[in-house]
Amino acid sequence: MKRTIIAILLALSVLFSAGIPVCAYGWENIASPYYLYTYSVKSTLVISGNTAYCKSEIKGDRTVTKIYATQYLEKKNGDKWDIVDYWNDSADGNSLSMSNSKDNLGNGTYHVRTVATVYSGSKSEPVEDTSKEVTI
Amino acid sequence: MTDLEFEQYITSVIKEYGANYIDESLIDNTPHKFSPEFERKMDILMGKNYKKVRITPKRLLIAVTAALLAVFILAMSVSAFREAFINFFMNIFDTHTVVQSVDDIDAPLDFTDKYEITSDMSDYDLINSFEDISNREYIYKNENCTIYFTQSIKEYYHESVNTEDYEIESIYIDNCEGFYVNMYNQNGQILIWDNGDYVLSILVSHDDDYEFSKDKLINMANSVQKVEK
Repeated sequence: MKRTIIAILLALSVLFSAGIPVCAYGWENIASPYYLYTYSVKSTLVISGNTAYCKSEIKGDRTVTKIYATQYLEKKNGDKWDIVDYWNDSADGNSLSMSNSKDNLGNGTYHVRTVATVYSGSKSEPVEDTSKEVTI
Repeated sequence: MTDLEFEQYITSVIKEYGANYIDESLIDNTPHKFSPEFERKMDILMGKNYKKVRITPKRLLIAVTAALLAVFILAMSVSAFREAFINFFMNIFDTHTVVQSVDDIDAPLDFTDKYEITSDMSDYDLINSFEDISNREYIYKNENCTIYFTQSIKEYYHESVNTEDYEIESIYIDNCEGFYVNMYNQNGQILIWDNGDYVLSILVSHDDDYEFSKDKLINMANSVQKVEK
């Protein structure tokens, strides 16, 4: 009985503590999970032969001062996605476009995932987009 | 014969012969037993509830935990709805909408046909244009406003558009299906449509005090045409 109560209380505390950082970011406007400054995020994967061409584009409003982005090329492995390769880039201003390629891909299903942080002065927001899947 | 005489006659006949007329096979001597469910309902009706639910601390905790979990999951979940357009799949989330084109095997996989805005753009400078494997883009700018015109290969088109607190409006450009979002909190407007071969879009970003009307954007979109290059 006592163990059950402790287990339930522990589970509850874990659940609620997981929710707190999201709220805290929102309150302080440090990195809110909202689209406050971003217009759009675009991810594109084109595979020709065994070469992947990856493209990511992020466009923000006129208050955006900097964009950091990481572009992941990922391969499907059962229910999860393994990172094949990734690239970082940044831009001063309100748009970022990054293109990369990867040779010698094995057979499988791939996608490109773009994860970016968009800054408006000292405030920022995380954004993400994942391309269509391509199978070779 | 009076009623009384008749009754006495019947009684005497039953007493004398009645037992001989009773078919024993029709008599079920086994006592009737009611079903447990019937008995339970009768007990409830009669107020005889023998099994009273005892609220133990453990049961109370489980109930409270279940209620809290339900509230927590509801509060933290991201609601996504799928909107059906003819040419686009749209997954609408709280903060943005994921848009992708519907597969079309007849759509070109290269930029054999090139599209441009053909209306008067003399108020703007063309500051950049490029073409890669999936997009062609023209960027026009003046001191108050930036306009991005993009032509995308349908096969690869996938984009997350800010629709947080904004309405997605269905719109037709030159009889082609599309949608319009006015991101008024961010001084931006986007118009995306499928012309059958490509996904075309115009994104306008402007200053606070600069007015760029929806009609102006639609007229600009309607002027987009295939150009010879």
